[in-house]
Amino acid sequence: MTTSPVLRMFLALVAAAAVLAPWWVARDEAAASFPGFALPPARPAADPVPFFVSETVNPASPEPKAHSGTLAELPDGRLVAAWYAGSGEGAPDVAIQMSTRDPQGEWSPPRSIFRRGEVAVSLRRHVHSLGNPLLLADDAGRLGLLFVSIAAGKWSGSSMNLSWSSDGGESWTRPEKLTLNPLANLSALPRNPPVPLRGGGWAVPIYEEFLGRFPEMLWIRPRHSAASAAVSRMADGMSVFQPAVAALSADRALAFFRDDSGAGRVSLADTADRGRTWSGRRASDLPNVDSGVCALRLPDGRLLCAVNDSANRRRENLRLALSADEGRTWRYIATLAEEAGENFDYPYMILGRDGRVRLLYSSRGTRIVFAEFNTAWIDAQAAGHGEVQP
Amino acid sequence: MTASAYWWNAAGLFLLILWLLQRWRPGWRWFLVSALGAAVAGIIPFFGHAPRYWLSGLTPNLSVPLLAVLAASILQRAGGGAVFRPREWRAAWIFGAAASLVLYPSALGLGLRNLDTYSLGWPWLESFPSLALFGGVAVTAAFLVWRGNRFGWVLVAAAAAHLTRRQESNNFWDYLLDPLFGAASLVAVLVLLLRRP
Repeated sequence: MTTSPVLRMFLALVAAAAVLAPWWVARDEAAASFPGFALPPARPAADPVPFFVSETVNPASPEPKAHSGTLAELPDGRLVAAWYAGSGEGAPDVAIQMSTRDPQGEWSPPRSIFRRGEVAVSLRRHVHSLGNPLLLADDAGRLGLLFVSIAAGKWSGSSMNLSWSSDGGESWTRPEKLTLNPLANLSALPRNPPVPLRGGGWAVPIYEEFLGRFPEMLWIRPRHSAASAAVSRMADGMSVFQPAVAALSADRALAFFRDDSGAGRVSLADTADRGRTWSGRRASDLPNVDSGVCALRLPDGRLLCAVNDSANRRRENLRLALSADEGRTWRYIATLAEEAGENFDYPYMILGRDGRVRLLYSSRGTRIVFAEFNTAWIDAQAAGHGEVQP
Repeated sequence: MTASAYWWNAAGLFLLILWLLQRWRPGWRWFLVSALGAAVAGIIPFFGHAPRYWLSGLTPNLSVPLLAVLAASILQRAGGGAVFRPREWRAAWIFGAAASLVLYPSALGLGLRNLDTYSLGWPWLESFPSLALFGGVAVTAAFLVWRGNRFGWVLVAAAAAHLTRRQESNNFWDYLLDPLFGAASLVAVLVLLLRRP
């Protein structure tokens, strides 16, 4: 059948318009992309008395593996911690566990909030294991939970899911799968704290670990559905991952990368356009032998970073380092844990509404340890320590 | 997973099994037997789960062009005439191969520091850069339709499926391409090139 040139031209224009329709519908929303980082509100007057407390969140947990803790603060002052626990990394019996700390400082007994079987039914697909939870908290008290489900193999077979709670973590919505990668949606994982965005939503530093390892930013829009998630690239290469991001202003942020290239140093990168693009990587003074790092900006503008400073991959210590010049130089201020032959890793820090720093880390692979301290304690520690030697 | 995404994948699995069974012999009778076999095979538990559970876990978003080439191949082998003529097959494979070369190396971490081609499939993230993808597909679809090539309408169908969010993904790329279609397209283009006189 032959058609007239006019009709063919008309049909071609219809086809082009139809393909451009989704772009046209979404283009207005894009005007609100990269809205800028929301810095914490002004803090109450700093407590002049140094304060430090450390406690175990899951002291009696029977699981031989508890790892990758995440922490969020609710508007009423309660803290919520989540981690994964089971017989081992990537094991079928791994569950996402949660505990709540009341304002009096008591942790509730850990309870499993997501298990493999329930997640498989919700997602209507095979799930081999679970891992890497990450909590999001908005000002209204709503909690979000990102966690990975592994389809096959280990971490390279993982993809990310998102669930919400409006009652402080007592109940959760059915998890939704986020599609963040075109290669069978494999290998996206969260690790470090989200950065709140102006106008709502979060920039969540995540990473890919399929064939190559590289960091990305997951942008979650405030309308709270899978339709509002998208990723952008933070670095090229195949050897830096598990990014941690400290917002320096609405436009600027500093990213810290775990580095397994053999350089032995934490890699850094900057953004000056609200996370849209990132500078090339540069080595910092901070040591890093392929272990997770976490960083945050204190209310006075100094940067705090939690790192492992082991010469080997055993992560036998966990130290705090402080920078007063936006990451150019660092000085150690404290050692949170140290013991030969043991592992103290995966630090996760948030800044509380009262200006105190709250930190979680994995201890000996089986325990989740919580630490809380104020800036007076940081200052007192800083007075007694020297600079990190590059 | 939404109901539409679930049934999308169930339909994809049905077409995949039917296509495989149909390799045995052509014709309408065998088509009917194969369709029955594919429907049954799609619900028989395999290692504890229905096959669609496994497919959803391993290949979550089957693209519109993959479903189109499977459907065209099945209908043609059943005796339904040339749904896709040689020029449609060529267009499908060239599109799939070109899209694979643009998308997958970047998804593996290769390429530019600040450009992941996959992010172009989210127009609400960055509208102007994503126009490169949407505009490129629009021009391709318009050109094919203007030339009377039916594969152009497959691209239009992919855009319509994206607009109405038929799949789990909200990224336009996942409606245009998946690893199965990409791999098949690369092999087919290689064969086309090798067979050229």
